[in-house]
Amino acid sequence: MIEDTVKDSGVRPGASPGKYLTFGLGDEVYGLEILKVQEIIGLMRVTRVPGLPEVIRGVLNLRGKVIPVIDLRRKFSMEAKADTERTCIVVVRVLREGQAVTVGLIVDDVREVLAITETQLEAVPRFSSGAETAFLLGMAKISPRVVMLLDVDQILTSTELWSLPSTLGGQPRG
Amino acid sequence: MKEKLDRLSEAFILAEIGDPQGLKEVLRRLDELLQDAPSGRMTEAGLALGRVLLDLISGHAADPARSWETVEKGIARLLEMGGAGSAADRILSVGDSEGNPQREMEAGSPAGSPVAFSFPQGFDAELLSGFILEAREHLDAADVQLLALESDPANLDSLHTVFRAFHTIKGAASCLDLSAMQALAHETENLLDLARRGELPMADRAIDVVFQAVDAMKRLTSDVEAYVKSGGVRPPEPALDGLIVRIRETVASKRDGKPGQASKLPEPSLEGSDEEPLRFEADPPSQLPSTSRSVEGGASVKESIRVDAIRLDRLVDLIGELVIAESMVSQSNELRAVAAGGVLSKSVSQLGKITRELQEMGMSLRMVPVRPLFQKMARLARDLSRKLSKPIEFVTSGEEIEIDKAIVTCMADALVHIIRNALDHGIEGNAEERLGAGKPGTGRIELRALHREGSIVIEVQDDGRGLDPEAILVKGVEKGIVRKGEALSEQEIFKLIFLPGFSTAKVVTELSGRGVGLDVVRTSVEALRGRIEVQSRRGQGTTFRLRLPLTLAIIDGMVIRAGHERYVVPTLSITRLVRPDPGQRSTFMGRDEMLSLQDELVPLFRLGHLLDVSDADEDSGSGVAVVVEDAGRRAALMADEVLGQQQIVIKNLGMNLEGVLGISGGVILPDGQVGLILDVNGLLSSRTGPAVLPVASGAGSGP
Repeated sequence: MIEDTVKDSGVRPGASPGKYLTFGLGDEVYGLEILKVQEIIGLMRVTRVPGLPEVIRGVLNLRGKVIPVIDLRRKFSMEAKADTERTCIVVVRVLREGQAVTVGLIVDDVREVLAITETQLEAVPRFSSGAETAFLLGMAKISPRVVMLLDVDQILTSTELWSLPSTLGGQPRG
Repeated sequence: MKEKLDRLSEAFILAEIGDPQGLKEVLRRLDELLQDAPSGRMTEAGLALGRVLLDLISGHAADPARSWETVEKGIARLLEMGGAGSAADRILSVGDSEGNPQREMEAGSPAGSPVAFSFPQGFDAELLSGFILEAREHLDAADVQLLALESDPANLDSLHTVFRAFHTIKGAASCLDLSAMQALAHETENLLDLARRGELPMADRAIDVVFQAVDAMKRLTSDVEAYVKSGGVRPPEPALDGLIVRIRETVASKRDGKPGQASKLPEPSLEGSDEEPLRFEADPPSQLPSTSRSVEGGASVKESIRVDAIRLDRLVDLIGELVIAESMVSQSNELRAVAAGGVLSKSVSQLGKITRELQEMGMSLRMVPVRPLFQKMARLARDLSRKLSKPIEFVTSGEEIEIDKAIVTCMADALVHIIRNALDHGIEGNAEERLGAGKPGTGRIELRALHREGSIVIEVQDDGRGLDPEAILVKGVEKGIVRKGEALSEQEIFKLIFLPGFSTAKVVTELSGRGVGLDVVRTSVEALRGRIEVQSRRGQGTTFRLRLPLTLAIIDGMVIRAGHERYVVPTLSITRLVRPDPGQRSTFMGRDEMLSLQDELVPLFRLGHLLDVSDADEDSGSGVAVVVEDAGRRAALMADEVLGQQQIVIKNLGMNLEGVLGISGGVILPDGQVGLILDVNGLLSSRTGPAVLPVASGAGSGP
């Protein structure tokens, strides 16, 4: 399905010119629509919730509100890496089924806010793996780098924060 | 008359084209005026004007500017007719005057719709929502007062309250173009008015009919709600004809003479124009009987303000944050180094006091008295007792006790189940059986609320047949839950009735007996972190006791540590804390562990394993065992350390936890970190299988 959309123009309908917050993850640079970013906080202690997929590192207390935190490296199946003092949490706020949800995303480091123009937007090439292109809104060529623009809603939806079967600590005994 | 005309023109001058409040005021003045309307022409003109005003108010005037002009001219016309010519000039000078205003208005007014019952064409969601809220309040009040009337038909205060409820709803409904509700309210108001004037005694039949009207009105209100929520999808037309006929019959059966002459009502009503089949009658007279003093039924009226729920939640959240921040300040090491008794130290102490009081206040904001809930139950009991032809004395006490608003809704369902059961199966069907047992012919059900040891206890006690332990045991064996010949204590037998699919009712009635009710009750009570118990004596009666936490927002729990993670175990689930010697612990098959307590063996689970904590203290020579109980199962949870008992605010974790067995929520601990609340039921289920019988003492053979 996604392939069909990406097929011809290569740019998913979602990517539009505007301001994006860029951040680093592994060797790459990614971007998020600035309007969806609520704030950026330094890495703080995250309480692990057992039984949730590894992609969700846990929850933390953001001024009295408890929010889940997603490990983007894990989400994109990248090699795990230790957190550094540059590791940050980007707090995003999106609408899901009419409700506002706040989630934190762990990134390696945060860079600048870029105003991306129409001419800089590019087609998303088809990769052999195919899976991760689902999260891409599009790509921007900002010489010499390529910034991959992420679809926050898609990341949240596919992370199954809200529907998930799981058991704790091993199989139940008969 | 002239005065009213003046007021009308004043209101119009003050109003503006886009201003519904101002326009409503104009409408109100118009209404007042029309009560005195001398001539048919004036009435007609007034009605037409009213329709145009309604269009403007509800926002579906096709051409508001034009409608505005029409209103202008209409008022001027009325003023002329009323002989206030100069005032008319004043009005007209504000705009243009051209043509014949009378004809214009008639052309502009919408065609009277022939359908008697309908919803407004467009709608204003906010107006309708406000209406729904108020209508429900009025109907609830009506319910209560009708019940009072049943036991005391001469109570004029109650009668007046019920009358006012329907009268107010009628007014608001007509303003919002909800003709079905308006029609029903009108008929009922008529009946009630006759009663008010002493021309129609409120006998059983009359009260019944009004109860039915209340119910029908509630349904209509829900229809309106559905209409608003769906964004304009009309629900099916209500079938009110039968009810209206019954109301009219009741009226006709006792009525002498016609309603008196029109006179001014004590409160302004917002009656707009009527649709075709209902003629616009002048309101019936409303001389208040001289005996009626207060209108609120005697109790002092507490002033209250409606507050947006979201704001309230935010306020409570902020208070919670303040409490944490305050404790971080007052517990900080830097502060301890400061000289006690100095200014800083005293100020911090003062800060702490204020914060604690604020916290209590915040918690209390969500508390509401159980009274409305109990009143609903009273109504239910009455209806059921009628339906089953079992006379009942329904007594309530402790209505002033307050519980968290969120609990009230869940409790309503639970109580309904229990009361239904009591009436259906508990209370004996025939009077002889009761008299033979030495009981009064009328059954008695008591609904009580009390404070006990920091919880709220709600009891439902009936003096019926009581539970039959033998029958329950037989059923238990039948269902394979109990092994034949197994010895169970009475309490253990009674607990069986809360299991799914369990019912000893010989006949499944429409109301109960399907074995679904009590299981659902138990689940919902436990979901609120409460407990349910039952006591009974054969032949004497049964008491259901629900123990609930004071508030859902706060949990009273024990904070424990496994590794570097901290968890909260609800105090209600804990039976004891033990620091076991190595001798008390044993293994079974080299794998499962058990803890030997005074009189029993319970399975032992290490929290570190269960919850996947990497650095939990495996050796646990110094660990603490938290013995928990849930639905009859017991187990010991091994933790590294018990940090203390606390009342902490529960926080939504921002995601769905249904799939995560063992965690039921989160809290923010005093140091700002998030702690997870353990769900004992879930933890035990994942290990010991679904809830069955309590572990028999001495058996130790596991589940």
